[in-house]
Amino acid sequence: MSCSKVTHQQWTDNSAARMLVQRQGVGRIRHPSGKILWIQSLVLQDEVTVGQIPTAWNYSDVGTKPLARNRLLALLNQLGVTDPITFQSVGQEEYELAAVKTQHEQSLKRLTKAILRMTAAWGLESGFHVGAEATKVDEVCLSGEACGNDGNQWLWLAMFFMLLMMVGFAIKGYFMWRQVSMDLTHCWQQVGDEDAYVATQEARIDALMRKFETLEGQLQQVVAEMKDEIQRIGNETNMVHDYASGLHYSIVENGGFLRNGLGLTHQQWVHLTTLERANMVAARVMGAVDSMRAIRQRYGTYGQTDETDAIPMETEDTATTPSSAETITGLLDFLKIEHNRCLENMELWDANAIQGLILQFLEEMREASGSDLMRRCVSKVSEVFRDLHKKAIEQNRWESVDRYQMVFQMYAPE
Amino acid sequence: MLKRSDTYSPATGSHTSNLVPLVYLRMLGESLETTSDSAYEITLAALDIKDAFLQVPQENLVEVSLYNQKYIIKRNLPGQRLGAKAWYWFFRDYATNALQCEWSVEQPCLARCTRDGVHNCFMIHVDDLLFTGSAKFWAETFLPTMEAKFNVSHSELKGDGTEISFLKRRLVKLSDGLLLIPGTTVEKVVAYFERFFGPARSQKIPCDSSVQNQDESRPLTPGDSKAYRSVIGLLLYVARDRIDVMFTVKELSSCMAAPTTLALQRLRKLIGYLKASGNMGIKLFIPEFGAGKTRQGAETFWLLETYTDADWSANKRHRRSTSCAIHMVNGNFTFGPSRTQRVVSLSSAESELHSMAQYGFRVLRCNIHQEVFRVFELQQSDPSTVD
Repeated sequence: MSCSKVTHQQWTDNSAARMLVQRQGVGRIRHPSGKILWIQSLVLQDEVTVGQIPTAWNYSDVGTKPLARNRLLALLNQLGVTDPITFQSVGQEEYELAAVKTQHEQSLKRLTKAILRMTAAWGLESGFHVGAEATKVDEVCLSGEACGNDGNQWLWLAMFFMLLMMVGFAIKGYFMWRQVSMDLTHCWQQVGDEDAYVATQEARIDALMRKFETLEGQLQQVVAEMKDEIQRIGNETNMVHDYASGLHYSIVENGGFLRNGLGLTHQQWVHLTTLERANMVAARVMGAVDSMRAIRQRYGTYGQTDETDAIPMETEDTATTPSSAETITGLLDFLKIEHNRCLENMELWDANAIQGLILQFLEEMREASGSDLMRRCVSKVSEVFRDLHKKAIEQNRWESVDRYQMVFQMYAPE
Repeated sequence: MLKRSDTYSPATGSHTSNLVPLVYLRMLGESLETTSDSAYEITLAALDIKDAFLQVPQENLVEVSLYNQKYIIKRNLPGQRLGAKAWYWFFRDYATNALQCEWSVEQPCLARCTRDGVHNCFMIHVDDLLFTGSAKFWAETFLPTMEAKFNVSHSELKGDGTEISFLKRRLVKLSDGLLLIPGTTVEKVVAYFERFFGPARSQKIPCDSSVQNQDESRPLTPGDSKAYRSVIGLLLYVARDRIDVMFTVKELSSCMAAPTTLALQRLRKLIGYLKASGNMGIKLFIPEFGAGKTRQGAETFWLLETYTDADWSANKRHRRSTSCAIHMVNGNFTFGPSRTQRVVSLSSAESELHSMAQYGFRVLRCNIHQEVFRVFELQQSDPSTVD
């Protein structure tokens, strides 16, 4: 037969079944079947080896009875069951636990056997032996009866050894107790040292706390002083600011001009801007040197700036109706009056246009002179006023419409 | 009804399906050990012949009429009773002539082709074929021969992580072995069950000891009975690869003839367990010389260990014992049936003995054992001794 190519091992957890198939013949078995003889012949021919394994590791339990989850997983692990997604073995933990448990059980069994054997050997056996141990004890007893004196000698020898061992233990115990008490004293000393150290540390902490509190008080005082100081400096700053504003104001009043006005009310600001504008105009008209001179001699012979302001106030009543002017100066005066009137009536766009006209005239006066200039000025005035007239009609300002019409008709070129 | 004895067609059983992968793993292990100059590449490949039955000429010409038209059928049709057998012999003759392969006597599904000292072997299950051996032989000789005659589709293990599928099972290559994953997924079974009987709660174990108690509950309605039977039908497929539910499925399938409400309750618990545990595959490791699970150092390379057990008449319904035999080849699970014994045993030893005889010895001797030998022998023996 070709079976030699494969070794066949049969495992079972039932010792009776194993014994049955390992013997020859049926003996006193009560329900023999032909199978038994057939299996026995196979075992005899060495086709199959039958062995016994502990029930805990009989894998075929899986297919025989309902199992607890831990056992089931442990057995599956041993059968190579694997999770198809993670490729991890199923029930690894359960298997390890079960393996440890089996190991413990085995060692416990071995220990029990050893104890039983020892008690039997010392002849201290009582009636609790079972099975195989009992036969062993019987054998010991039989040998004891056969040579009784030897048995007693053995007993005495055993007792002597036990006494010796007890004395040994007592001496060892005394030394150990001494060692332990020394260690204890040492430990208490260390505890005392530690306590002292803790106390010093506590004192240090208290001192530090007090120091900290004093420092805090000082700090608060300094903070208060600093606050007072800040208040004082703030007041001074305000004063300086007021002072600077005053200076600013007076500088502008005196014909200077500044780009930035600080600390002025809105009214003052408007006034100053006007003045500044006037000063700038004056400077551009007269040239920087003449302008500075004029400022320095402000309260001397020249007083034009003030007079410029004063003129419309004086002439307001007299020049309510425009009249034709023959000279440039006359024309300018007339335009100034118109400008002021526009400002009063809050027609700011018109005022702006007139102001632009005035500035243009002043520019031209610096460069050229003569009747040609006069004629150009007159035509320009009529042009500007015609525009203003149109705008006024659009905006329904009828009073201004009449006025502008009069002006541009008056200056209209023949 | 007429009984006929000529329909027998050889097919693989669940006990054979793990053996070719094991042979593959052994060859793989050996090829990893040998030095590079004498090494040859090993492959495991699946082949599906699409036009299997249509290849075979009809033994006796058949005349049929279809839509008032008469036809004469010259080839075998799928579903024809004699088709499977005729196909097997047709394929066997073709393969023997074309590849000079030898066929196993005990398990006629297995064959071997020896080339350049390599024993390539394959297993055929109707129109599915699983091949293992030299990759060169597969690519240069075997596959072209098959393609010349048949319309085939094939797949091959290329490296770690690749997979092929054979007989509704997925075989995944891992770095240290093969993982067999059942094709019938747990999700499918659970969904099928829940469609008829509503949701099942997750369970930690497939059944408790009450599964073997007397069942006095009332029978299910005919509709529910039908659904119960079809769920069990699916579970029988699953149980082939799921050792953990094998026993429960066996117990539940015993009341398939007349399902009861209690049986349905137990089925619900089992489905809950499957739902909680998810899919499981079985891993085969590369076998080592004479090293089994419990026994080590056998004198031959292959070591078959059989673990048998029986509960002594634990079933309170019929008092027949359940026996189980787990077969492991070099520590790898191959086959584990769980069955109810035919006789009532009077002692635990007797039931164990029955278990041993029924599965450990009888089934083994007559089927698996011989097949195992055959596969391994085919793979192992010296070419000179085979004439």
